[in-house]
Amino acid sequence: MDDLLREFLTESADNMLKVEQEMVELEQRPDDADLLGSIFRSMHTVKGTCGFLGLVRLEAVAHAAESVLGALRDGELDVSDAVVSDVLAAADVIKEILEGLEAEHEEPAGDDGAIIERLNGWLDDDGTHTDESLDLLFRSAREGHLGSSSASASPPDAVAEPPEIVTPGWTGPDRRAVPRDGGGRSGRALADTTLRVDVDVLDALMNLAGELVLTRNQLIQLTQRDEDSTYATPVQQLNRVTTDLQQAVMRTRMQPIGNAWGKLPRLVRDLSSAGGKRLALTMLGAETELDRQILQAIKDPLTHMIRNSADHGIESPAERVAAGKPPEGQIVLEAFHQGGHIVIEIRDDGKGLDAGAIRRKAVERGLVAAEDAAALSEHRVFEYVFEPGFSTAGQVTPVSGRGVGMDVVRRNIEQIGGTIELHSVLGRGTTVRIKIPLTLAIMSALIVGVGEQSFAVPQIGVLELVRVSARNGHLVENVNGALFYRLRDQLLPLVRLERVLGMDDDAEIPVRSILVCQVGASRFGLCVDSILDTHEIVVKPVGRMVKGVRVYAGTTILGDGRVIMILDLAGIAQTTDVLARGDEHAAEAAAPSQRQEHERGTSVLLFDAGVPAPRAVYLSQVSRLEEFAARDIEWADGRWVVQYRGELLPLVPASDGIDMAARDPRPVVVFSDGVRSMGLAVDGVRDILESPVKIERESTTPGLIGSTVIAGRTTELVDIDYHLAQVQEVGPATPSEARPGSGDPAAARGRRILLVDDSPFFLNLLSPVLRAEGYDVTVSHDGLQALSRLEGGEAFDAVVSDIDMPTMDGVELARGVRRAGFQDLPLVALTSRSSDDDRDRGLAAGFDRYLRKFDQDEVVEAVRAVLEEVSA
Amino acid sequence: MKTRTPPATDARSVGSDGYVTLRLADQWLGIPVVLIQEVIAGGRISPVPLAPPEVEGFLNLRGQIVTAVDLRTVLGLPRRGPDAPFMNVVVRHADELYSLLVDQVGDVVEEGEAPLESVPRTLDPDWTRCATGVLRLERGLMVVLDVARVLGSDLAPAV
Repeated sequence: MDDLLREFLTESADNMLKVEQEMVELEQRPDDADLLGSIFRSMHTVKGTCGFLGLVRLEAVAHAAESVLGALRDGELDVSDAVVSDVLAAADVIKEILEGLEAEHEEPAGDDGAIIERLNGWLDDDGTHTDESLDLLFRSAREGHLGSSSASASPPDAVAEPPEIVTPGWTGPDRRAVPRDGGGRSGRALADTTLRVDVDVLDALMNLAGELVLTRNQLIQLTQRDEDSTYATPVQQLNRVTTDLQQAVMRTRMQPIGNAWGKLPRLVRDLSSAGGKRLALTMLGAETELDRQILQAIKDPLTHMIRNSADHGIESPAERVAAGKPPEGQIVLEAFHQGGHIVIEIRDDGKGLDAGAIRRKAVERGLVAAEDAAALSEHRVFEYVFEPGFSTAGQVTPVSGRGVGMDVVRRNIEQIGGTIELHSVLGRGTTVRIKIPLTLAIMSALIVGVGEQSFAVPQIGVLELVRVSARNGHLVENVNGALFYRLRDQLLPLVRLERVLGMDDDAEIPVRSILVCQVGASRFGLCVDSILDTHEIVVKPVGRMVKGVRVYAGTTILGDGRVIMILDLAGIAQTTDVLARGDEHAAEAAAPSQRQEHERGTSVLLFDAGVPAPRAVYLSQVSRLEEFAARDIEWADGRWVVQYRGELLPLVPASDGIDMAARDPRPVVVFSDGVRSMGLAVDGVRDILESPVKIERESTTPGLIGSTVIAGRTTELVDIDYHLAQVQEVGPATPSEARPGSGDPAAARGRRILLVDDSPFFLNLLSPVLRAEGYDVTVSHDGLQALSRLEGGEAFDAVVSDIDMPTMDGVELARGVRRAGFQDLPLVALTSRSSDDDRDRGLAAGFDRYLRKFDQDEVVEAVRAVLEEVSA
Repeated sequence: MKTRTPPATDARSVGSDGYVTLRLADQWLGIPVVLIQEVIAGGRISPVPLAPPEVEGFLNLRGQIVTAVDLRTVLGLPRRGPDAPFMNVVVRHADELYSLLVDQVGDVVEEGEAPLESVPRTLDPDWTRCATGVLRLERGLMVVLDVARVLGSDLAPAV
């Protein structure tokens, strides 16, 4: 039996069971419009689907029954024992046909004239029944079809219906709780082919499959050492079977996310009546499947957020109308797949968050200094919503989720390796976006090396990799022992993994590789010695004796049998003193621009300015630290300037005490507000530290905010906004120019690059890097897709492709590209395979460059070079 | 890595109430045979930075992760030299596997061979905490360890 038919039988059996149960209920409550609507929909689904499958007999009966149900629902016909009996009789016929279909795989022969006639007898003379409301629901798919009396097949019917409507369970807030498996009904023989299995058994199976994966990995490594091994073929076979098995076992644990949504429509209905509001809940993507363990973990957070939307987000009907919105508030819950993860969005069209109110509250609670609050971007401001006990609701309503706040929501999401973000527009609504892994048991990880040890880092938390070489080494700043990396327009605080782990840490060893990690809304760089590999790893819990160590998220076993620790990025961010925020709920690293939000104070950069008192600026305002040779600094047009990235950067002495000729090179702190840039010439950068900034005395000197006490010394705070306002516009700041190894961005601008890789991780990693260089990047997920783009006439200036890909690998792609006549199109291969043989094979197939995957700078350089060769 | 016949099997022939003797420095220790899952010589133990000092690291036992605990550290003895041979005595405790690292594993002493006496008060506090009693054997005094206390919560890092 093909899958489609099997699915149809299961679903129709469910639907018919539901029709029967609800018809019985209908006798007790003949006026229940919801109930009638539900019965109608079930019957309609059966009809629609059989039309799609060309089941003529079924469709004719179902159509007749549906028409009667439509008339009942629209009040054209009153519910009576007789009509209920006829519909039930039709249901019996349908079940009979379904049983025959299941046994024979085709519709059994038979004459349904009698039942159809009886059903039509209930209708008006023309035997038709129009259905407007349902048409509204389905109108995008097929205008007016339901009004047709024709019993002929209607193919688009079944496929066009949104699944949230045909799936019993999440039809909207008005849906009725109906047990899907009433059990024991003769009409559902297919139920015999499903089994209830104890979840523990599935968990055990999952563990065993995980073990098998590890053993398989070990075997593969062993056979790879010996190419002529007689085991090679069976190991390949084992490899395939293991992968299939693992996927099959994982599927058994997958459940539609709708299972976690079941109670939400009711919740929303209760909230609307309790709060005097009108709410509509739309649930999309209920069929999206994810691991049951994760499903359990997100249930409460989702409920909480829906409650928030309904209770705090959506305004009263009167307020909405006054604001020019429809009186009914919309809450949309949507789940979908995105690059190996599940994204869940909760959107409402309510009043949105008031950034101003949150700023005030944050100041009140001492989370941020008043003078800094205004400078925070809205994005940062909304982060406070996730602080413990932070609520902006003016009053506690009877239904609001007291005691549980967004901080708990975030902690729950982070515990399962997910991330949460919030966006809001005042007056327009709020969107909360949650990204979670598909399964907890297996994850993609980067294997990194420090000293002689390896560690696994979950890929979900890694944004990009930076290899530090002679070319970009100067971008690593050491400010009084604290390391920073100038990543485009941001100063990224760095943490050495050796130091985090208390291993030998020789600060003199240059930084080699940086993982740019994201925790909460903040980023930090994790310095490691080497980035070794990417792996699918099986996550095992940390033993009890090591559980207290917060920097570990789990353990895993590598292909060679070694046990390695999985790092917990949030834990590292928390335990690292440079980034720590003390509060155990705030598992986020504070980037320098955000460190000012620290409860203990604000991050300031202290420098010497040729005057006795030290001076300081807010670190959040600093773009970069530079040094310029004295001969490059010129006096022009009555001000100091220096050539900097193709622009003239105005330099402002940090005080009258600065003698521009006295120092060579001259340390300069660069500021940019996105439009203007300027450099503050200083005598030396002294320190970056956190301190409460309280202006003791306002300054009367232009360019100075006032004096404050930092580290026991009276310090003058420099007013950067004033200085920026003084300098003329120097052209828009282009972050891409700040990138290391960057060629001429103008040359890159508009050049189209096709980036081909099956790993969303690498696509996510490389496309921003290339985009930052000014390229127009298009991505493809395999060779075939890429080739058809090219053959379809899309023009690209270069193709950057992975080698190992499903469907069509990189080598085949290269051959295909050359065969298709693109002789001069530059092709760059990226691979984790780096043997000479592979390289030769790649070059022979037509690649112009063959690179290792991890070095972004090399990729950027190679792309620039191949493009240059072509234009030359 | 060589797996010896699990002493637990041997133990049944001598009665399930015996003790496996362990050698640590020049001291004899005993662990009830029934608790021991298997004994493995050597093996690759991956160190875990920041773990409590007695945790030597993790060990891969046929796909299961075993916490290796250095008995010398627990009992306040000097650490083994880096190349000194050692044995893993694998025990299950509170649903997790642990390996107690010892210098050598000896024979099984039957329960009735000598009476279990209470722990002498003069014993080092580290030992007193982990011991249930002592046996006076011909070869010398054997301290019987309480595995739960060796791996006890007081050894777990402060959470």
